[in-house]
Amino acid sequence: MLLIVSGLRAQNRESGQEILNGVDLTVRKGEIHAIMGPNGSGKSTLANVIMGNPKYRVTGGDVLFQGESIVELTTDQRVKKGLFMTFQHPFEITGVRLRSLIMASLDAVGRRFGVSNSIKKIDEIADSSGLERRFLDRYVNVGFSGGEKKRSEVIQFGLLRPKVAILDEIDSGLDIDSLRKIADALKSLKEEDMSLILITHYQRLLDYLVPDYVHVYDSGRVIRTGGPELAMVVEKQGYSPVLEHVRG
Amino acid sequence: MEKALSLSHGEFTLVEPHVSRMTLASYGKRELKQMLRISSKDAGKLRSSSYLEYAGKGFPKWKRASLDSLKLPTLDMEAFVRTEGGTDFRSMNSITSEDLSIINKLSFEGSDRKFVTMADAFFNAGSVITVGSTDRTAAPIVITVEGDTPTIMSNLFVLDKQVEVTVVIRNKTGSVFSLMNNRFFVDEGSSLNLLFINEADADAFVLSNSYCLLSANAQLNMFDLNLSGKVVVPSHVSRLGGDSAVSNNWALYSAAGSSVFDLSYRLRHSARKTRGIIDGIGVLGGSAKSVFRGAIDIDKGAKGSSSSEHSDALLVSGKAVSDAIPTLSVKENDVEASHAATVGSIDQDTVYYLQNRGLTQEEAERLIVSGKFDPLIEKIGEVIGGGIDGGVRVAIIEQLGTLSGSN
Amino acid sequence: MNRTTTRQTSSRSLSSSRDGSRGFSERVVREISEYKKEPRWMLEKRLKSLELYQSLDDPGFGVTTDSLNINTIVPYLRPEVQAARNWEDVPEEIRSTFDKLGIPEAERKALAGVGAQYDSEIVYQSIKRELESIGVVFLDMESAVREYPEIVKRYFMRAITPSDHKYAALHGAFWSGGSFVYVPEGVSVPLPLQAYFRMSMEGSGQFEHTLIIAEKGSSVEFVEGCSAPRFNEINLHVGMVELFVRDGARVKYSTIQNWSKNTLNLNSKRAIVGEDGTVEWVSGSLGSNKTMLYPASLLVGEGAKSEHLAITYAGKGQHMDTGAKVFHMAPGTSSVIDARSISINGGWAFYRGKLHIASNAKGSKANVKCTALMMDDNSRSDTVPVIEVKTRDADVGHEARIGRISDDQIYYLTTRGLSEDQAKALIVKGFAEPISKEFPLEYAVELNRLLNLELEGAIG
Repeated sequence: MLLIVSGLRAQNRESGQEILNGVDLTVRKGEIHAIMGPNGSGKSTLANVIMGNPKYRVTGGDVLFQGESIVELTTDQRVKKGLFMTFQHPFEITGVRLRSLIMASLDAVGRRFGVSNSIKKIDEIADSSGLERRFLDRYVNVGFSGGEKKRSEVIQFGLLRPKVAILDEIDSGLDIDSLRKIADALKSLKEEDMSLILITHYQRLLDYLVPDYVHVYDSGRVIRTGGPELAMVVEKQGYSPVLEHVRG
Repeated sequence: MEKALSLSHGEFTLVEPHVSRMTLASYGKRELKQMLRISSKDAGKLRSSSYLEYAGKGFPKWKRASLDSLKLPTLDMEAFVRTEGGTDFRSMNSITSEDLSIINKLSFEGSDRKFVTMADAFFNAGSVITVGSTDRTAAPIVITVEGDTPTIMSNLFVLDKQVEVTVVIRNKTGSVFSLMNNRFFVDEGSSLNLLFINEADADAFVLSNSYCLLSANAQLNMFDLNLSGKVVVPSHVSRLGGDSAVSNNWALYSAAGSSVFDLSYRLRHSARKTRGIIDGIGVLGGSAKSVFRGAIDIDKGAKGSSSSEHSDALLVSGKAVSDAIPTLSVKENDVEASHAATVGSIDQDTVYYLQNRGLTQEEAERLIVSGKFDPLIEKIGEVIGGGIDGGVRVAIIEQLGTLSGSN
Repeated sequence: MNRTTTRQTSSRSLSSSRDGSRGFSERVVREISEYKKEPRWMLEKRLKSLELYQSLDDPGFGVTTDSLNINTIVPYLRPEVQAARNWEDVPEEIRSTFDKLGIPEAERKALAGVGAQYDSEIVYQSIKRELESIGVVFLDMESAVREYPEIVKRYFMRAITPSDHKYAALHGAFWSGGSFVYVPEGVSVPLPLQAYFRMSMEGSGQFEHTLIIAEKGSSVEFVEGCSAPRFNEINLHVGMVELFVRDGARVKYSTIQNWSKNTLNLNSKRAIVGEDGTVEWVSGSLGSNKTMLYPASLLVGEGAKSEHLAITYAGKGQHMDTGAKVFHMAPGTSSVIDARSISINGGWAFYRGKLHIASNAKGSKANVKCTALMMDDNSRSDTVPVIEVKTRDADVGHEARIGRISDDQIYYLTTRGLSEDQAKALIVKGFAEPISKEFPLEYAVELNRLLNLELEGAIG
């Protein structure tokens, strides 16, 4: 078991609002999990709590990574252990060039290739992910289109080689072509024992990255878990039948 | 005392900017004695202590709004001031010791202490207006300054908790001198909609100082319209003293001829999650001069507060000049504070475009200028009430009319 | 005046008093002038300045200078006195910073005003030869007074006159050291000139005067100061920089200042820019206890341009009053100001600016942007720009923003594996980046390392 989330409860630190109401999730090495849910169901929040966003406070349950509880660790400590998250709306950081950020990250997680090798690797990954090299010299996410931001996130995922990567709506706002490109990039970057948690709204991405498990998420909990066919059901019938089925 | 600039931080101090002083023939002991005769004990205390400070310093030698040509006419015991609306008010001459203690708490610098103390010593108009939670007045309180004699007014407004009040102070004086102090205490959860309209005589010296202390969850929406006068010096300070207080200030000014407008708006944030804006739009024609001072001051501990200032000055004629001094003074980092200022002229591309729709150059320019003001006038209408809006709109259009063709 | 000559004369005068005399008096001025073997006209200039210093009032704004104990100050230290100083006398804080910055041994001593020999002399001599071949003069100020008196007479303290303000007058009386650069018409100096090359021992740099004249169509870049902490025995620095940018010329003047934390740093810098000329000021102010620095650009020729880039750091025990002044005095002129500050640990960063558009400056454009980063709630940050516009035919914009590093940005960086402190440091570096990239590479690297050090000390 690589990542075990058991009975996780959390609240918004400032407002006190309960946002996770007992989430259970088990991810093994190499598995692809998809988390789907209606808008506003808080899927991103789940990702952020797993990553340790200081905005939230865990009030119950636990998150175990490789057998060890990580809820007391800071975000960067979790990243150093092998967790990673791509953002749906990555933040702009004026003054910091993408390339510099990547170099600093690589250093932080202990992946040192030497300067010239790093530059080569970064260029290669940019090429294979479809992000023009000139973006590497731009300030992080400043002036990047939606697609370019996503690609920039994917590159960072590829270089940092996490054990478990949470991809938060990496497919939102992309047209068919871009989606396929991103999916291809992810497929080629995913190593055999890397696990992916795809938080997605639509089913399309799952055509390219076929999940081992699909979870339907709502109101701070995983409502139902199934195989890839569950995604088809949701696609055809929407979320209501699934949710009602559980409630009823 | 609410000071305009805090000069120290930790072990550091700033050199205090020096203000030169000058003497002018002005009101003195004789006028004070006359006023004391009609004052209550506490009103007398206010007058006397203010006079003491007033007499101890000269008039400020301002660089732009020069007071050199100020000739103070004889002061009457009572000015022509009409008050409508409001149910609980009494003359400033009959203040009680309770009123006096509130006035002393709301001590402030204004444009200069000389004028604040002058108003509190020699006022020949003014009231204490209280709005209690039992009289949720729907109609606005309107104070109109008229007549041809100098008006020196000192007002105190006290709003109890959870009330909403609209106050309009309209200055139509025909005299060459008008001075007022307005103090506002807004208790928790209350809101004050305030409209100042200065339509004084074209040759007048118009000085207006106000200080508003906002408690928790209180809100001030203030509109300050300055449409005429020779030397116009409004100075408005809001102190956001309670958590989540809000102060929105909009200033609209239009100066022509050889007027000098020295406008000052200040927000002092001393509580958490307070919000403020200062938004100034000015149009200058003839050889008018203006200086717009917007100051945002945020104390340590005012976490989560946000404050912004924006000023826009449009120079319509070749001889008009405009200065802007937007300042930020921040001692707390968990805030958002910003300011922006622009000075420019009417965009000729836009004028050309309008000419292509049949307007003359003059019509086009007037349209563009009024376009700048319209959103603000609409807002006044929303906040203050329709009837006032109409009158204000007319006043502004008239004023703008005098601007164009003054190239 | 090269080093070897100095040493010979100095050995003869060792018999006289060990220190220079104390206090700002006429006797000291005369001593200085005599020691430097100055022509009469320079002595007279000094004396006139001294008179003005004694009659002028303190500037009515800015930092307080009462910590300045005038009578104990030695305005001029003879070079041999400095050479005799001990390495042990240099404050620990400075010695350890040298360590952290990895500065070579020989350099350390020179920077601390302790060493006598310094290899830069060799570098300087070879550069000097190269420059001479294209007609460019790059000398220390004293030599320029002797070798190019006509030029110096014409320009010295004409951009900033002694009557401008009290400290300009003080400088005029006691100036010592500094650089003189003359670039003839049409010549482009191919590499940035660095005052560093000429680390003279003249004074410990407290009253340096730099004069740069760029004739028509020429271009030159000058870098002053260094990022290593400068130790200054008298804790006072009253420097002056005058730039004369003629028609079509371009001068870029960069400074990194990192005076020790007990220094009072009062500067006067001014550029006079002719038709289509350009001046660029790049300033990094990191050290000192108190600093007043407002580079001024006078755009007197049509189409003249100025660009001011500045980063100011106000840490513990620092009161930094810095800014920029631009005067548009001709049509079609344009100016840009990008001023950034970081305040932390009780520091106070105060931006003071003046933007003046004269009535004949039609078609001018001016843009000012001030950004202040406050790292905690113990510090203070002020912005007081004065904008004066005397013509409607101008485009003037000013904006300022004060705030802190956003939590969102910090969090985002931690999801890339950086610790919170590393994230903050990266963002601060990014904040300074638009300024630091204007310095020659070594300086930019130094600036970043310095900022890191400061932050480490402050946050960590």
